[in-house]
Amino acid sequence: MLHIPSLDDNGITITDAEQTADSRAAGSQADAPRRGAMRTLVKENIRRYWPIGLVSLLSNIIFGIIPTVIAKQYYRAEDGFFVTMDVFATSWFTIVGIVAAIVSAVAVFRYLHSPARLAVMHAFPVSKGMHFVSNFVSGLLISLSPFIVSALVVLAVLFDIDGAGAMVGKWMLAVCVIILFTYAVSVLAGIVSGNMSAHIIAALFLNFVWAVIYSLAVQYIQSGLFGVDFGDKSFDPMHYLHPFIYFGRARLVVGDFSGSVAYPLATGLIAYLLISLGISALAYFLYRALRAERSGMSLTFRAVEHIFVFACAFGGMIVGGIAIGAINGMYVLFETDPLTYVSPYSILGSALGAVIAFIVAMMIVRSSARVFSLVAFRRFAIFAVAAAIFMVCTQTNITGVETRVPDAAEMKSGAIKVESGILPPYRNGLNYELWQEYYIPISGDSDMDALAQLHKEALKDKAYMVSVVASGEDDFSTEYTSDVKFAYGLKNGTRELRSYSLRESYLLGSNAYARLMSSESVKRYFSVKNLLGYESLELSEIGASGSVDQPVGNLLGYVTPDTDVRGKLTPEATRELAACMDEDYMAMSADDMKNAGEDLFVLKLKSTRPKGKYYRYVNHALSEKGTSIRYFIKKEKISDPNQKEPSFSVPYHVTAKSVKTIAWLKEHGIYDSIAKSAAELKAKDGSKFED
Amino acid sequence: MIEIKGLVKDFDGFRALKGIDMTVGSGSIYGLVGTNGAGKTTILKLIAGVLNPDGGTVRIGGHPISDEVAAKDSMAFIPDDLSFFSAYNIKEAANLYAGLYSRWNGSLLEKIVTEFGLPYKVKISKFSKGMRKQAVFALSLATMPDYLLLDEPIDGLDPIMRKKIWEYIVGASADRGMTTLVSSHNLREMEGFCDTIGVIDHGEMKLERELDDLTSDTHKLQVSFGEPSKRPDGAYDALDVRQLSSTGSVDHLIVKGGREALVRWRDENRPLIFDMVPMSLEEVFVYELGGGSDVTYTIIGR
Repeated sequence: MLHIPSLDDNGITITDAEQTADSRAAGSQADAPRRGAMRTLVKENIRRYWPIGLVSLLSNIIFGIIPTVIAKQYYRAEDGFFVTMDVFATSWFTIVGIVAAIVSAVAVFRYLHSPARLAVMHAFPVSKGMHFVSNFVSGLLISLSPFIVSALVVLAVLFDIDGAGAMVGKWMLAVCVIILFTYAVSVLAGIVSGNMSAHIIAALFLNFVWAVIYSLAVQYIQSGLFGVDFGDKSFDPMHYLHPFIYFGRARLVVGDFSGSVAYPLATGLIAYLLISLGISALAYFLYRALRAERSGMSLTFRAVEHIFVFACAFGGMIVGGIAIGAINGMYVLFETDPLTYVSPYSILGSALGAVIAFIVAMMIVRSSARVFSLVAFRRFAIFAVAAAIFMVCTQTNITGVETRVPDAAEMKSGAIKVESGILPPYRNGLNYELWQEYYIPISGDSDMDALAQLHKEALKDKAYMVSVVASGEDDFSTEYTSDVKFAYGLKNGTRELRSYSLRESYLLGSNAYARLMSSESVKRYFSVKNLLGYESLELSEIGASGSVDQPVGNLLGYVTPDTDVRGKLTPEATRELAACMDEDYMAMSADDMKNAGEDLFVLKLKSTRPKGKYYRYVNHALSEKGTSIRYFIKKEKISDPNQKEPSFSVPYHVTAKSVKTIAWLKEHGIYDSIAKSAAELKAKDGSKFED
Repeated sequence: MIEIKGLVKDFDGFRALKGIDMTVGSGSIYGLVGTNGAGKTTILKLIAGVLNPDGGTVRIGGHPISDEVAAKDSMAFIPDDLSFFSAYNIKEAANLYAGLYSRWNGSLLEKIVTEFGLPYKVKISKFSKGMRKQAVFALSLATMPDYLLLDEPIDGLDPIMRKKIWEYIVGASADRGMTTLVSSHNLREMEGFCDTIGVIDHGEMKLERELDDLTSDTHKLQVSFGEPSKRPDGAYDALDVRQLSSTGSVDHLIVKGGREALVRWRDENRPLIFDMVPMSLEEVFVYELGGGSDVTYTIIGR
């Protein structure tokens, strides 16, 4: 029988009637706590953390909105240009948004890192799912609202500018997605980390640092595998690892919002939105699986501990390998066989980096310096085996990747890029600097076979160089080299990129090179029609061929009025001339190019800008869709309204083989003037040229 | 009613609870006693749904607790560490509780806070340790819980405040059948108010008994039949003797059994001396726990 000690008269005075009334007033349905809980918790978080939003808003006003108002003064409507916010302002908004997202995530989920706070929170009549959702929503509101308010103010400021609405709208969407993504990743970081320090570090790491580590890993593999190249922007997935990088490449968060065909806006918005939702869902499920007893530890899930330690060890291996391996420099390739050479410095650096990073990671996980245990040794042994396999695969040719050249039958498309410039006599115009930008698309079975043949020859030449250097006969130190990239899009959906530094003397004597440079693909690419188009063409300069490196001369000042033919050619006439030049070029074989003799003269063509419209020029942007490599001609708006000269023009060489071009010039009575001017220029000073 | 069967909890390979069986009757005030690290807080957190068990079951009113919102709505948990409340004043905390608990009683809160003399708008972090406990107690009681879980709630309070808090607890238990589970490492704290005691040591339940039963059915007897040779054979067979020692002609016994049965035995056997000496709670516990030890003496507060 229950015995209750007697009380004095100052005990509880609530009667049953009062209790019933209070219960009715407060609501008695089991669902009532859940419905009110969301509102209550969100309001509570906003009450506590609204200063984060306020600081963001004030920062945006001072460093973003006010500069926008000032920058608007430079807008000129009559030129059809769009002057956007000051570059600093646009990037400031984004950076503030990113910082606010991380800080908000840390703030609203900080109770997870205190066992005492967590105990009280999880004892409340609120499900774990509701805890997560209410905190997630709170933090998102706190981090996103200041930006949305600021962006609407910017829109209001720029609203009267034609086109501003669309541009600012695109920018707003991009930055909102950046903030959402950063916030979702930061929330996930908070769920898997057990204290605030670990949360902040994990948020920074998962948002940005791992992209750097990834890039370094790519560099590491590249340095170990001869010829393998991941560095081209179109092949580097690092640009897609965070929307800030993606939309930055798309020029939507920094710059003029002009966008980029390689980084389409709609694709990015949808993709990162879905990814953010996916990350949030993962965080939700991990929250529900969270064990309160791990609160306060560095990491809250045992599996994450293993991933963290191994990831740190891997990162240390990469960084150590690159850092110490750099001692070797690039000269080793001329002393040893690049296909079999394994850099001892790189391996030493990798080993040291892995060990140090592993120990540090274990200390972080254990929150103690005493980590030298059997468990730790066993864990490191597992990592060492995996690392050894990785290093063998990435530092040696055991997989055959270094010597692999696809067959034409495997290729869907190909491309070649010669960063030092296509060698004469094969080049058809273009200045030295411009050659570096272009991937020349190669299509058709015959041309792709030529590409593959050149690739195989390149490997043989490299082996030849190694043997010569090893024998001491030569060190090729006086040789000029060209950096050549081979790009393949294969029918199985994969892509491969190889990069070699090849001797120019070899290339000049190579039949495969000659075959490729005289292929339909290359000639079609460098035709006037492809580079400039036939519309709005103008003959801008006439020059004389000087040295091999300076094919173009500026005859301005050397041309007398009666010999200056530049103004005499109408756009229609110039188009005809260009067509003749293309016909001559397309008809040339490799032997024709080699035996063309000296340039008679150089004609520089430019694509003039119709009033109010855009220039057309070849962009180096390389984008892959599906399995093929596609090349885009980019239409770019001119940012300087006072610019009169085109931003792109191409010099074309006219030789004795250019029969149709010469015939056309003679037919129009201007051949003699041009030839005379060029001869005079050559006679005076063939080395003084301006480009 | 709170029912715990075979409760197991591990922390990184360390077994903190080794199969606890425990029953807290409806409307009772249950004292959970044990030394530091015995597992008291772990049990409370498992009941509150903060921790998940690794074995066994916890049922509140017949339902498993786990992530059950309705069950938590009828429960209030006051932890030992009150740092959560540092960022609040009583008014702010009350707003939070009012939004979360369906049976929130603001007038009760006001009554208790006034009686304790606590300020509404001063941050709880600025309160003394005792004041913080009072504030959190007031908030918890104002949720009108059916189950109140208290982790060492009385530590740090002066005797007057302790008495007041116990009065509220007992009053709620009597008035509306609130079930209370209180943990402490000091038995003497519990003696005046708890009706059931559970003693836990190293993750095992050593003793669980209603206090009345404990003290009512264990007795210390001093019996003498005169000369030892005059003691009848099997004189004590009818008694449930747990301990027997002799000093000369006087036998000292600890027996289990009701008072009436012992009186009946006396009448039947007619010893020359028959003294029934009441055992103190401490003596009962020392005996029940198998003798004096550091653990036992810590529990009984010696």
